[in-house]
Amino acid sequence: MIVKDFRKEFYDQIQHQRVLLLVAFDVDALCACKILQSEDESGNDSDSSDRSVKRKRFDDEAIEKRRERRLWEENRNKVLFDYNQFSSFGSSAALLLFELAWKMSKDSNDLLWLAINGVTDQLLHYKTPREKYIEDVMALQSHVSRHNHRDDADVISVNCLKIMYDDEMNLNLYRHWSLFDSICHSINMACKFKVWTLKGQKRLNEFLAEMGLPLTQCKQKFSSMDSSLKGNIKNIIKEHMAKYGLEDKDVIVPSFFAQYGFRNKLCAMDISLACASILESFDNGKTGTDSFLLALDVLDRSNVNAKEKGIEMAKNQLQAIIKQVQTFLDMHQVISAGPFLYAFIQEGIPDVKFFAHPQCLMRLARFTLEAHCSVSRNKRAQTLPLVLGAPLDREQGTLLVIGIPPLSLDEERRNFFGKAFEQAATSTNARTLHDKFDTFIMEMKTDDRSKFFDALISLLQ
Amino acid sequence: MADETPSDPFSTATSPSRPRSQRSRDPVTSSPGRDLPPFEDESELLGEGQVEEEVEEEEDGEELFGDNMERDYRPIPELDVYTHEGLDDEEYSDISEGQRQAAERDIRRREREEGLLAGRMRRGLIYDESSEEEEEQPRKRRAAERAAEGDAEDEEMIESIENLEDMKGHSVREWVAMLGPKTEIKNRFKNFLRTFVDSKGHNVYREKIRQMVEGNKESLVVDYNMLASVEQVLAYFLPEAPTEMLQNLDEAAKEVVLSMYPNYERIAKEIHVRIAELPLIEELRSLRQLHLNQLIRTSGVVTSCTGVLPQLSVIKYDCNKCNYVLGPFYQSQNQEVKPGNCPECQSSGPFQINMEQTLYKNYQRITIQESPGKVPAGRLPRSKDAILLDDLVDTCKPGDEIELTGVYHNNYDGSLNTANGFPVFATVIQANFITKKDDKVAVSNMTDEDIKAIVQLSKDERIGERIFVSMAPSIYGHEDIKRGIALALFGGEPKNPGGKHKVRGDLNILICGDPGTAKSQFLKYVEKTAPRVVFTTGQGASAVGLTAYVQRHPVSREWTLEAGALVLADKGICLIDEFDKMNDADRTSIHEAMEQQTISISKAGIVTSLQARCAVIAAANPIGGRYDPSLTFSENVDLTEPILSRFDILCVVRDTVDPVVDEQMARFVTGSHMKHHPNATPEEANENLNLLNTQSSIEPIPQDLLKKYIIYCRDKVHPKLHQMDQDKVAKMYADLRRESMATGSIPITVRHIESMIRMAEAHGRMHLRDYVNEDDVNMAIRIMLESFISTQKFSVMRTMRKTFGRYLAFRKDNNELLLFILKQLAQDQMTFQRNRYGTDQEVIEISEKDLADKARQINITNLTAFYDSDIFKANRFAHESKRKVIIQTV
Repeated sequence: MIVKDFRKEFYDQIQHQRVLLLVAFDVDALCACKILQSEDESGNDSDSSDRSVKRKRFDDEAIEKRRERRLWEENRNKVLFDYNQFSSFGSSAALLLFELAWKMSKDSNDLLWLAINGVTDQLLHYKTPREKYIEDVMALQSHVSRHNHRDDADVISVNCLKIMYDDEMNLNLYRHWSLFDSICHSINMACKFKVWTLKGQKRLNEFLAEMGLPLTQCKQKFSSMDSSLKGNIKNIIKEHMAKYGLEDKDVIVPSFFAQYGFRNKLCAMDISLACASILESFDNGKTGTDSFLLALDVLDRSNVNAKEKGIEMAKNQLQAIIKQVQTFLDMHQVISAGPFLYAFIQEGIPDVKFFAHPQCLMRLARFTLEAHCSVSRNKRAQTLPLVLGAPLDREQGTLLVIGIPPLSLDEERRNFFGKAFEQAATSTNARTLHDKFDTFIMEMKTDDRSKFFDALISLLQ
Repeated sequence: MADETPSDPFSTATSPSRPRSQRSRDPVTSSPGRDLPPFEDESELLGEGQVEEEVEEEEDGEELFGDNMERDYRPIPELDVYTHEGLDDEEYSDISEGQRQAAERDIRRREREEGLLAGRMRRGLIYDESSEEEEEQPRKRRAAERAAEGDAEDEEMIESIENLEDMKGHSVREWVAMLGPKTEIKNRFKNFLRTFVDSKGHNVYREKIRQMVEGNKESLVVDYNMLASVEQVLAYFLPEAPTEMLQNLDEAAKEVVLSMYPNYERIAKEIHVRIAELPLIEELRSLRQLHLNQLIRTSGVVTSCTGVLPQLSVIKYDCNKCNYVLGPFYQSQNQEVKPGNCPECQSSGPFQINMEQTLYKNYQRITIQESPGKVPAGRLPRSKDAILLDDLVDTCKPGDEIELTGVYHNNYDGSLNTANGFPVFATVIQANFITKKDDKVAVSNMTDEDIKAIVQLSKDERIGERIFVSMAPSIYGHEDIKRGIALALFGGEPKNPGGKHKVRGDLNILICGDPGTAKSQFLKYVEKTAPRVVFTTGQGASAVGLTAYVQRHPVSREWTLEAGALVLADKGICLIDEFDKMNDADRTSIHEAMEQQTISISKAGIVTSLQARCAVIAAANPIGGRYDPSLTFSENVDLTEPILSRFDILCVVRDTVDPVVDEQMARFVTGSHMKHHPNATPEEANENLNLLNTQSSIEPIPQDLLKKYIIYCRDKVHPKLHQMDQDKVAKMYADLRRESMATGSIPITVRHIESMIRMAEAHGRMHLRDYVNEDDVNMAIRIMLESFISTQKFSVMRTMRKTFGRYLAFRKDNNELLLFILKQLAQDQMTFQRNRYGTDQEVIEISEKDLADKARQINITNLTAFYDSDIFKANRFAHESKRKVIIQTV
């Protein structure tokens, strides 16, 4: 969703008019969409009849206009070339919309929770650098303390949504998984320990033993772990991580929790992951709209079933990712092409359906790159970007290709592949399709792969 | 050694004479009673001006006295060398404090290493070595501190080796249990664990502790020989007073582990030291009174083991009157500790065990028996009970051959006394360490290298052929059996459509043939190679022995279910030799196991179903001992149709007379015997190896790697049927059915389609494929057909071979086919000549044209390659192109 800023006049303009929302297929946009919905619902009742007919239809030229204007600006000003050369991400749309709601005094804890999810999603999918994320979190935290400030804690009914700020371990879904599995499936920890090797597994075991966590405990569900360990786990890990070369930023991420009813505490990271995985689920006959609506359900705080389903799905996704990374490394399929690394997922493996979606592919690419850098003896590996291809459609013979920036430029989080892909495609007449929201992800015909890559190599050299 | 203060300039003198000076100082400082003043004097001397090295050396020597004196006079070659250059010292004079200390530390470390390696260091000083920093403190202060504590053992703590050995009139057990020696022993053992370095310079026990910690285990295996090489006294005490010593060692080990991993206590409450490699191995038979309460090592076969019971370890009692909790009482191994009276209310009971606060540990009793091979001729094997505690429980199961290290205990047994009429004791071994003779490899303990080697191996294009060749390499010929066994070892994929019932994935094989055709050898080979095997013979196995039986448990007197051979072979292979000798009744009992792969029991109130997912490989003799080729298979074998149809592959082994093959076989067998003689030198073995390898150009896989390969494949590879050539299979099946009806040999049923699929899967798995491909299906069809055709009457066999010729030719060398044809021709010719001339001919001539005609029928036109091939010559054929004949010399 392109939401830059809602200026007063712009808002006036779209009032009483039909609005077309272009919704990107990620959690952030989803959250923003939900916030917008609730703003509208609470705001002007006159429009509610329209909205009840269909949720995401809206038709308007306003945003179209803005796009046109931007296009025109591009043409006019070549300075903007630099801007186009790299694609980067701005603030979370959800956060922007929440702030808008706040300005309109329509903010609530629910909306805040959605904004948090939007921001978290940006971190999870490497769209913002960590500093930016922390900035956003700080901004959100002030909202959180404003909304959840009570004189007496007992006053709050358990039925109210309560949001708390806390440091969170950067372990995927560990509350809903076992600690061991979670460590093995989280990028930072997994790459530090190189869990895909026997040696890495041993090291991980040693690490756990050093912390005094019995393996049996670590391999059972986290929620059933010994409560004395469970409560302390963050501090224990913090204490011992230095010896194993783990850094603070590998392990700890400031994040938020929501508590609602007597159910588990929900962590923003878990919800974002679950939502993203539902959004990209691939059940037979399910269209994009279906998964979109299902993903909206996950964000709905009262829908526990949808949430659990999403978490299971996210686990499957993570397992598929680590398995694929392991295959890449075992088979030495990450190959250096000079200016960049590349890897292709082979057709016919059962997990291929997971990777036919941009977000999941994005995470796989990132994982692969980090894992490769952690095992590679080549010093240059850190400075090389990665291009990853996954088979998309067997019948049509298409390929989903993603390019991610090198790890050494991690702080900038900007991606130059969008433009490079476009140029390489035009120079070779490769049949490509640049219709993804992110320009650095594109579709292409499998047959054109080799010539496209030749062009890309010469382009980037 | 390292007991000077950091400021001591002596050690900081970085002049080139350093090595010498520290060498000379070493013995002095290592004597504990020595004071420092002489050094201080000397250091002043040195600090003021740079004295000549010789002077320093002399002074050093003068200060020495006592027994260490002569050490200074041993030849030190470096001495002369260093004196010359020692004068130059300006560049070292302005050394900074930090550098100096670093240098000092360096020196000290090196000194210690040198001392260690040369064995010169006094072992009694270990508390100084526990860490680098600690030794900065002067020993005097420590001694003072200790004195201040006023402990009684103070004196004994500084005990050195001589004193520890001198037990002051106590027995070893008393001495070891006393506080002073105990502390000393612990200190020495801790030092041993921390500092022991093997010949390669690895710190063995640091590594072992790390491994233990990684696995969350609580057993630390200590090599007795290593201990003996460093700490003779401990090694001497250990077998003499094992119970007390082991307790000491356990405590010491725990302290060491906790110093490395402070939080490990949360994972394991106790650390057990396990003593491995005790040099003396006693037979069970030779255990005598002498061995009572000693550490012994023995070996035997586990014959039975109880379930795991909780044993009281720390007990607490509730006083019934005042509810005061008594205890904790630590239970000893052989008698129960009970409180006398309640300290709170002075009542003398009764007390009730406090269930919440009492601690238990695992307890298991096993019976071990002498291994059959070790029993002296003509005696019955003896057995002995052993007690396994804590993490040792369930380390072995009945049937395992184990080596057991433990304490030989006696305990009072009332019934023995009434039986024998005077005080005798029952004996039991309290186990400390168990090793299994053959720890079967599993995927989980394969290393990355193993897996790499396996994947590497699978890349070989001819991996299938190589595996077939590697099967039972010491058996000549029988390629069809080898193929069958290889497929059975890898196995197909079990399926469970809709969770309703299972379709088996294991391949069953029946080998039937003339006596002396290595059938049992094949079974024995499988027994050694496959990961999980149970071997039975038809005569020795009853119906219940194969399936499951109900038995009164000797201890609990309850009816319990005991597994039979097929159940024990679950997820493995069950081998049945002499299958035809079994009773029919017994044989029918395995019908269920072979197809449904379960065994259902309803006996003695137990109604249940056990899993028996095993492949069955059986060997049988034909009726009357010889296989009659003029009859069909079912007429030849005394087996019923239902059981025959349950076998996927039937192999007929016929002992035919063929002079050439016979000679090769004889050569092979003698070669094999020569090669494998136990006293054969490596050269002999290699020499003969060449002889054996003439058969094929394919290099066999080493058996160890093959075993791992099989285990890996069975565990990791699950080939799927994907776009399988259904038409081909369907057509084949229809053809087979028709032929089977016409000739009336073994019946062809739907089972055979399934077995074809299984074989294809097994073949795919052998190649580490994710999907079954064309090759696999073709190979499966070929094996299936070969099996089917071999069961036919001789008369039908030929025509059938022709009908199915194109399937059979798959993956067969042209040369092999041609050879087969040529042999047939030669056979005909020989018969002809014999009948014509009456005597056997030395030379057989076959016209080239005959062979060419036959060859054209199977689409082979060019024969020159065949004439040049090794296989042609190996069979003693020769081609004379001028006369256009082929000559075979018999």
